[in-house]
Order: sequence, then C-alpha cells, then structure tokens
Amino acid sequence: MEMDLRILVKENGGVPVIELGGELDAYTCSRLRDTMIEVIENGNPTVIVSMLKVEYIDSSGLGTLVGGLKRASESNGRIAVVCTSPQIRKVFEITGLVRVFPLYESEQEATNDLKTKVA
Amino acid sequence: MALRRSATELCISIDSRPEHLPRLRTVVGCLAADLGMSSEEAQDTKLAITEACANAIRHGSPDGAGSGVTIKLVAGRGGMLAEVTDHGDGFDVNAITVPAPAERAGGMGIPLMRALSDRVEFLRNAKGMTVRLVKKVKGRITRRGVASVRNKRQRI
Repeated sequence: MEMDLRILVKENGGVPVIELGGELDAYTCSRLRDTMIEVIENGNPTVIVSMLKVEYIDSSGLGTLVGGLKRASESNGRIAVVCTSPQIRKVFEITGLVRVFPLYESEQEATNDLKTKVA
Repeated sequence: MALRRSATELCISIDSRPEHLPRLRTVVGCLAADLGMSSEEAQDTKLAITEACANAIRHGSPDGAGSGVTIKLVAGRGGMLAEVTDHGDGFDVNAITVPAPAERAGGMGIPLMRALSDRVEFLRNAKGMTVRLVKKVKGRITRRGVASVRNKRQRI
C-alpha cells in the first residue's frame, strides 16, 4: 500500500512554501521533517507549511511541525501554517498548538502577514 | 456503552510498524460508515484509534517490529469500541505530563484520544498494556447504516 503524503516545495512572494497533500502520520512525517530541515538549512528559516490538501494529521505530524519550528527559531525564523479544514484545525486546537502556530486561510494571507511582521 | 450482541467484531494483528496505520484507518473508516457516523465522528474515531496504535508501536513494542500489536474493533448500534493491546511494560497514565505547547514534539497522543473519544481506559495486564476507547454515534443512524452492519454480520 502506497503511503500517501505528497510534498511540493515552492515559493509565494519570496517565502518558501512546503505544500503538503494526503496523510501526515507517524510513518510519513519523517519526509516532512527532512524537507523542513533542508529548506531551513538552505537559509530560509521562515517557512509556510500549506496544509490545504492534507486530509489527515496525527500527533506525530504535529510533533514534526513543532520540531521544525524549534529549528526555524534558532535562526530567528517562523513557521506559518495554512489550513482551512475544520477537522485539522480542531486537532491544532485540542493540542493547544493554535497558540504556537498562526493558522491562515490562504498562502497569500500567510505571506502578507509574514512580510508585514518582518518589515 | 451497551453494544448489541449482534455487533460486528474484528480482531486485527499487525507487526509493530507505522506503515500499517493507514490500512487500519481504512478499516475503521469502513466500520464508521456502516454505523452511520458523521464525517466528523468518523475522523475523530480514526484519529483516536490511530494514536493508540502509534503509541503501542512506539512505546509498547520492546522487540521492535516483531512485538506486534492487536486491535479489536467492535461496531454496534451504539458506536464503536476499540481495544489496542501491546507487549510493553505499560505506563502510569496519571504520571504523564503534557509539555508546554511550544515544546510539544511529543506527548499529544493521549490528550487527543481523550478529547476525541467518549471514554478512554488504560489497562495493564500480564502481557502488556491495553487502551480501550469508546466512540458513540451521536448523529442519527441511517437505515442504510444499520442495514449495512446487519448485512456484514451475516457475512461474517
């Protein structure tokens, strides 16, 4: 059975975007971790993680995002999460991570906010 | 929760590897659909059971993949019951501390199970640890849902 996590690294207004699709769980989260490390260590500590196409996330996926945030913070960067799914937002709320990750409705909204805060 | 004697019961044994988790979610999703659970209830159930299994794989498998995890699923008209049993030493659930949000690289599985289930029990036994979760069907059960469960029971 194919493990369904799709990862695309792109850019929005000069900010790197890691676009995820499918399922982010204990098995697939290592791929996100590797991608985040690669993007951050390439000199892009502020990253948008787009979860618009994510259908499922568990605590391992959330833990991977927290790990990425720690790494980004070491370089004064931030992680912004784009997510509209009520189910996924609910998981962020239950775990208290809504207080850690700003959640945006679109990549453009995240980009605008990140640029405003940098300026 | 009072589950009918005629409930569908499945017992699944997996080796302790996380790549089995999507397959398990598929099975849970099928049972949830048969029960007439709402989409939200089905997602909650899948996540809660997956968290229990991921914990069993990560913390309750002293011999690695060969340790194995057993998942018993019972789907009745009242809802779904899951028992996830591992071969670990178990843990004192009351001794577990949840880290501050910004430090939460781990420790979120049990809070999720509790928030998304109607009942969660942690049972130590001679062989390992069993996590028992109950998710009730709160939405209206459709005729199709009930009929589907009955049909499956007859096939089994």
